Amino acid sequence: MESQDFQNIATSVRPKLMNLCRSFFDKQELAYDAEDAVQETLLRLWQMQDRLSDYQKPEALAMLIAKNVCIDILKLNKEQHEPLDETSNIIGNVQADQSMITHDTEQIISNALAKLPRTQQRMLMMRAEGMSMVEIATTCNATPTSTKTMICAARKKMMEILKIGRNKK
Amino acid sequence: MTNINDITKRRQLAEKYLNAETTVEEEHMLHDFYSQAEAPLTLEDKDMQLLMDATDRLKDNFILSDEKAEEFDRLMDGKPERHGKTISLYWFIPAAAAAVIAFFLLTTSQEQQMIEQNPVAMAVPEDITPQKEEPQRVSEDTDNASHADAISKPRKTAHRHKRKEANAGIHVAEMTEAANYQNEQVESYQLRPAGDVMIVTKMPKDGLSSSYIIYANDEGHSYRVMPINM
Repeated sequence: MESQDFQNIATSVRPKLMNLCRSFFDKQELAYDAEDAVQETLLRLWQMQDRLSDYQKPEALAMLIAKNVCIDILKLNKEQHEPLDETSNIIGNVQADQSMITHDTEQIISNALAKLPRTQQRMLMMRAEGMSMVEIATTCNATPTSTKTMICAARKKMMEILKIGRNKK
Repeated sequence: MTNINDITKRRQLAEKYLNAETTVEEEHMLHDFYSQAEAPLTLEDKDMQLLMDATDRLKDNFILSDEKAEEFDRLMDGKPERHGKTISLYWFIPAAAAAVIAFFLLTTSQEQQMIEQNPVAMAVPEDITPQKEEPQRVSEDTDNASHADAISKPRKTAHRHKRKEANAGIHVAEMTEAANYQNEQVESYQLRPAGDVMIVTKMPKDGLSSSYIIYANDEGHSYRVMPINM
């Protein structure tokens, strides 16, 4: 799929995806931003560009992906709200301790990523996947200039957090 | 093409990267360099290596699933989950049928034996005997003896009850035939699953129907019969 093709699909399908995701979150009473789900959907659509020829209608594929994204968010939300019992707390603490000892670097990276806003995380991911600034802007419903600014800010912030983490080590 | 092995050029490229001014190709080049770097790296290089590693972790390999799409449609339609009830009924129907037949056979035959051998009081627990169909026979002068019977008889019933449970898959027609054999003129039985319980309606030939609720105790190891609308 050419970059222009993706932009055309993304632009035309975005309102439908937004309606679908919004109605799902309303129905499930989930306080989740439909915009995030749409961005995630378009990113996944972009990741599937090699397999797009298998699907006759990219729009239908986008809707299918959006449904997957919504269910993933619903499950994630349930997991986050499930109360932890004492056993799982202990296991969690032990695992966290082991992680601190054996995987300091991973811990630093995870902490740094967690401190970024979701949109910035997603923009970094899109860029790491090889999307152009224009494609990222289309996916995130932003201008290329603001996209570039946000990616720049995200990278610098990440670098700063990573440096602090490394110095603490 | 930038020579990435040159430390000065690499620093310039790293600076461009942080300012989001690099092309996709230049970013790939940086990524490849830091992921394969074997030579001792400077502190700045190590920071860049960490940053590359971090952005790598953001990549998400997702699998497109039709099941999730179906689940989405189901939730939007407000339909209940498909599993659960069907599975519980799968084990419950034959088990309940076995419990019903065991219940009617045992209560009828035991009472007949009781009357013949020991015409004294018999206090049967109310969860096993329907009060209307099988009225309690109480004798005022043999309270002690009847109490002993009341303790021992349900135990026997429970043993035989369990043996019958193994005989799953019994039809309503067989139950009717068995009950009629025990001189209970039953025309038919109606089994109605309701959630995790089974409602059994006995329809005798005299027209006075009676209903019972059967539900499983101990995860299906035993069954309890409760008369209703008596």
